[in-house]
Amino acid sequence: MGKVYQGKAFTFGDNVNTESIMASSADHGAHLPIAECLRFYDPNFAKEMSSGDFIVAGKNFGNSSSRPAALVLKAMDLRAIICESSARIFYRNTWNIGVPVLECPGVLSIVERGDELAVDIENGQIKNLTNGKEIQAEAPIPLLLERWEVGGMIEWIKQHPENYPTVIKFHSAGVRKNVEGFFGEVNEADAVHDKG
Amino acid sequence: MGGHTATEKILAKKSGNKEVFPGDAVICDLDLVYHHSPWLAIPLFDEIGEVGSVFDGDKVTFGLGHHVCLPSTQEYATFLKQSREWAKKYGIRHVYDMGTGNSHLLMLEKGHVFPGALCVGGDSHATVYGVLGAFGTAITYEVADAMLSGKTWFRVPATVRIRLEGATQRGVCARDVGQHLVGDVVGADGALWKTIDYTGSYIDSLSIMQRSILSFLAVEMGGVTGFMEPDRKTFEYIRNRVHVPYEAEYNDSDCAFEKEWHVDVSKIEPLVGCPPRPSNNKPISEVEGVKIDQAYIGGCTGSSTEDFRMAAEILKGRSIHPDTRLIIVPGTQEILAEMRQEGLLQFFEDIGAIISAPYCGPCQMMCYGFLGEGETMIGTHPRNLPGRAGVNVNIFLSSPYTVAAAAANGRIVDPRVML
Repeated sequence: MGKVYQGKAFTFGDNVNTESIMASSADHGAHLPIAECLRFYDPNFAKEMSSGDFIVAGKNFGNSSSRPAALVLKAMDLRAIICESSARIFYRNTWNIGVPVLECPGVLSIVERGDELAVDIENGQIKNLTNGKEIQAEAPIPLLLERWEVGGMIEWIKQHPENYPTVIKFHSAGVRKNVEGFFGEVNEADAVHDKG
Repeated sequence: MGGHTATEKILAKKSGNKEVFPGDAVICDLDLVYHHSPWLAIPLFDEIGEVGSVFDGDKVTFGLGHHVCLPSTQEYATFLKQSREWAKKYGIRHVYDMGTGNSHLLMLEKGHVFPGALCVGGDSHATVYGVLGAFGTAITYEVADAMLSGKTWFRVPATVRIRLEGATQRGVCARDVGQHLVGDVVGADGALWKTIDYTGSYIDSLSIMQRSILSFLAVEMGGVTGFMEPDRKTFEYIRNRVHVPYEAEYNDSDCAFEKEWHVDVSKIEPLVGCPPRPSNNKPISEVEGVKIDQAYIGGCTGSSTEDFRMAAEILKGRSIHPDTRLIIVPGTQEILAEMRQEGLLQFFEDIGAIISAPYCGPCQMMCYGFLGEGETMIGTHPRNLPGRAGVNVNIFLSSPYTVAAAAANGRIVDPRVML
């Protein structure tokens, strides 16, 4: 048994694209477009979701542009995405940013918007506490699980200096220099990131 | 024991394995790590620690002029300045700056992609590198990791094959064939996590640039890469461009394709990808009459000299409708020079088109040329998602023939009647 996370589900259909998650109409430089997140599909999502909640979605979630859309979801402190299938680039980005994506065919048939879920991310076990139904997701790719467990790609890199001969000096674990620019806002969220 | 696909052979070689199978997770050495927006990747270096250089200054490239042909905000101007400084600091030797063009096309033109190569780019349309027999695909957040380690991981994809036979009707081209595949044959997720392998007499007949349209569109079907086995045209194209040794990989004759589609391209009619997604196809007859404010020829899937030739065929002896503006965006400086030589630049200038410096085009709001609220655009580019090129706008996707016909009429019409 891995750690079980509890949160509310927000449901979406098939083919939700990254443009809708991280709008290019927003001012990318200074602020992540949180208020616009998924507005096209659910105008109340950004307002109603709380820290630790889940997205439950259909096929091909996160398709299209390769932009790191999960930065928006991470900044909103979304716990995880559970979808019938995930677009490939989004899947990679999102785990590395620190938000798990579980692929789980059939999940939309047992979850409705607002249901309370209990999810064992490590083992892909999903329980709908509202209606008592359970479903098993596909096993996460071990190397992505490993990165998520240590807090995402940056922390993983710092723990594997042997792979990075051109890095002269690594910051110690948990220390992230707050840089100006695109990632400024995200770093603040990461500073309080729960590694559990 | 069956043979292997070219994808499996490339990933086996680059991961140091004798053979690999679909579903295996492997860590591979990379031949190219490209990014058009270093301001997304490089700040992560500072979060990791003190970085001396990237893993190999010849294998990491910046395409700064991809989205931003000229910066229109202070912020982007600063991003570009920072990126040039980063390139010097971290030893990145190949920087394609403002005005050089769509950097995917530059990766092909400038010899960064070659048969058998393993290439990643921080942009979803990196699937195009498959057009030269490479395995090319996108990673974004992990680009920072790849720039430093020279490696990344892959889940070995199964391969689906699309066999295209025959010749298109007059007024129909590769952009329509691609639109047909995205909307009618494969669908938005029909090749999810798969290599698309294109083959057949229609592919043989196309130039590398027209083939590239289909490899670009692989991602719109969920594909990992849009692979084509190298042939005489591939080797002709890379001669004088590629200056490193390479080894082409082909599908074994007894390899397994997970699925195979056969398409007779002679039956395809002009198609239009309608809002709200690229796969929402309609035949031209169903959208005729839609009023067009902006017509755009350019972008990943419509910015080669041949695309502009097709548009000129339609527009010859005609003018642009007074309520419509036509934007021409050549893919690269090499294409721009070809157009100049053929008189195409003069032609578009004479009919009052807006001719831009080469870049990726007004396809989304980070580029210039996006739309006013409520306006409608038709373009040869690959995407029409809500919010992408303006707020509350309608975007239609089609061939250079159809876009040129709309520019002349101020509304969508069947281009075949104008030829």
